[in-house]
Amino acid sequence: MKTTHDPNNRPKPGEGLFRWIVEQRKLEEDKPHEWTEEQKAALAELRKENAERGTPVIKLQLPLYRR
Amino acid sequence: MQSEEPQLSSYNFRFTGGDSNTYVFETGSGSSYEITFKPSGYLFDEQDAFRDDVYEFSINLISHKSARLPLTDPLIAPTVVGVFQDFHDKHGLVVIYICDSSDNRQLVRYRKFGIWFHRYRHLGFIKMDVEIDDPRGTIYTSLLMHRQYRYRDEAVLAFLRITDRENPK
Repeated sequence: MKTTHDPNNRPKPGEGLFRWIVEQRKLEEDKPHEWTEEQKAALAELRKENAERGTPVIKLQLPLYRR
Repeated sequence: MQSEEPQLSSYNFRFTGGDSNTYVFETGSGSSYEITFKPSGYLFDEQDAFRDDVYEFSINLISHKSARLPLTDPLIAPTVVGVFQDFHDKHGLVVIYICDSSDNRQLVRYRKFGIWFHRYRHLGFIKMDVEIDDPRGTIYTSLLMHRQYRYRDEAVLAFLRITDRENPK
């Protein structure tokens, strides 16, 4: 099954196009996520930068739905 | 001597490219996020001049260290805005945001996105929200672009046109 926005296999506006997009996205999210080598390298760099900058103080905020 | 604590305003991020124009960042608590701008001109008609500028924007939490979902982190919003602005500056984009509804928390996301937008409204972006009624739950979607975008009026009308077709009431 194609899980990207395949131009040959999607409804037109008015035929449930937005629902289709939401469902395609869900299919993509359900697949195991694999970082590319470039992304792994980028995340390692970012992790290092975070460590060098220090851990930010994060104020506890209630999620919006509990307010 | 007084030691200075680093004052962070946002997390650093990286553009890693790919078909979906992906950015990544990691929070201080070890949560990894992916932000994508998927080319989505297909949503509009072929004659729409701005079609090549249209991207579907999404924010995905890919992994987090603790078993529980991370608490609200005040640095995430400015990081997402930084990414948005970075991509906009390079591509002059029109963005479609469709709230993820896979866990039935789309209304929460929609409101949160609205709060973020309001907080950064001074950056000059405009947003148009449309709710699409669907038997399986309302779909919340927004169109975003810079106020000075050259096809602004055309894009707004075209967005109304496609969402009207989806929402024929």
